[in-house]
Amino acid sequence: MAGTAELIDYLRNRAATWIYTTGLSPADTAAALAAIAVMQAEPQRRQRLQVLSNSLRDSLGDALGPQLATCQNADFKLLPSSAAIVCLQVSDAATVLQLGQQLRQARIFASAVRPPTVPTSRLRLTVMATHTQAQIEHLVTALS
Amino acid sequence: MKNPYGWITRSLDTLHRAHRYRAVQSLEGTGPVITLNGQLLINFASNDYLGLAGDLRLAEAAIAAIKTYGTSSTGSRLLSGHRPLHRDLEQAIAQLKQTEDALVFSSGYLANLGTIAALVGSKDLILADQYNHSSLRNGAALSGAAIAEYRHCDLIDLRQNLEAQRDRYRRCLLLTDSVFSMDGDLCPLPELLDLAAEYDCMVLVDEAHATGVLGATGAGSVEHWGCTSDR
Repeated sequence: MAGTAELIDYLRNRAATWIYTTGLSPADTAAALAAIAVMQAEPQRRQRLQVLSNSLRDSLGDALGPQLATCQNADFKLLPSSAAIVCLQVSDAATVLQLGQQLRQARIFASAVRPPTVPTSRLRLTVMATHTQAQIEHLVTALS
Repeated sequence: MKNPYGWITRSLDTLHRAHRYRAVQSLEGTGPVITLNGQLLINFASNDYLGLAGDLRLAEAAIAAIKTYGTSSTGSRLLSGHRPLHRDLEQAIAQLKQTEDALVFSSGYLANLGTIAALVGSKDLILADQYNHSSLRNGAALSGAAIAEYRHCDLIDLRQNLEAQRDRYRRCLLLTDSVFSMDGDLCPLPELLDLAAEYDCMVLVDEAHATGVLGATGAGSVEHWGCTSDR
């Protein structure tokens, strides 16, 4: 939690989930500290993540565009996004589970997210800075 | 004889029938390619956006910390669990977020629960985006404040709620994800902060899926929208 010095001072005195529990482990704390340093020293990771995320969004839009136009089921659609998370909404829980299984056969691991986590079932795809462009293309091909 | 736990079987059956039953999957490896049941798969399901979970520099830092401080913090921060590393991390976060200070909780979920419950109570109002993360929703419930949800990223609906309800409560806290974890879209933060100022509201923005991803220095959506000085 980040904020004014006064807010943080208040939380140290009043936030029960901070006061009455064991502090973050030394390993987690050190790893997080190192992560911030690496993230700041290597902005190219963030830039690459943005490039790959946009590439996935654009390619999926192109690949699914014609299909979506002819598809009677309006529930099957690419949800608007701008970070490293891209979601494909489908009609129901059974469909998203089936889609997840089909992707598995194409060597892709993706999350089938269902109610009550979300109001409508969807495939949740997250991009990593360490993905290759070929891996993104493989995903788009599998979904097409 | 009655079984007081019999309802669990029936509840699980209901989940199965609704295709809502969930189970863990045991993955091996880290990074863009993982192994599941002996099969190599490309991983599009992790929140390791920058690919740092498998970075050896982070692993070495963690190992060095274990060798120096052990595997546990061994107590709560105010008693015996505070280490120099905690303060270093808090200062690094404050510097990244351009805030005066920061507080490291034991998980993001706990950070939201504890902060919300500390900031508002039964005399107060929480206005929350309908698609907020579970930790914001449950933090709101735990606080005992009155809760009103506005339609996803709909600031007209938020304004109407504020207009109708704000003056009946003492404090008001706006809660929102900045990048919505199950959608990937962004909260329109500048307009939300304007509304907060207009109606005298505190704002808690969950940057879990934006930190390291958005903003010129990776500080998150607050930086992305140029709202850093509003904090």
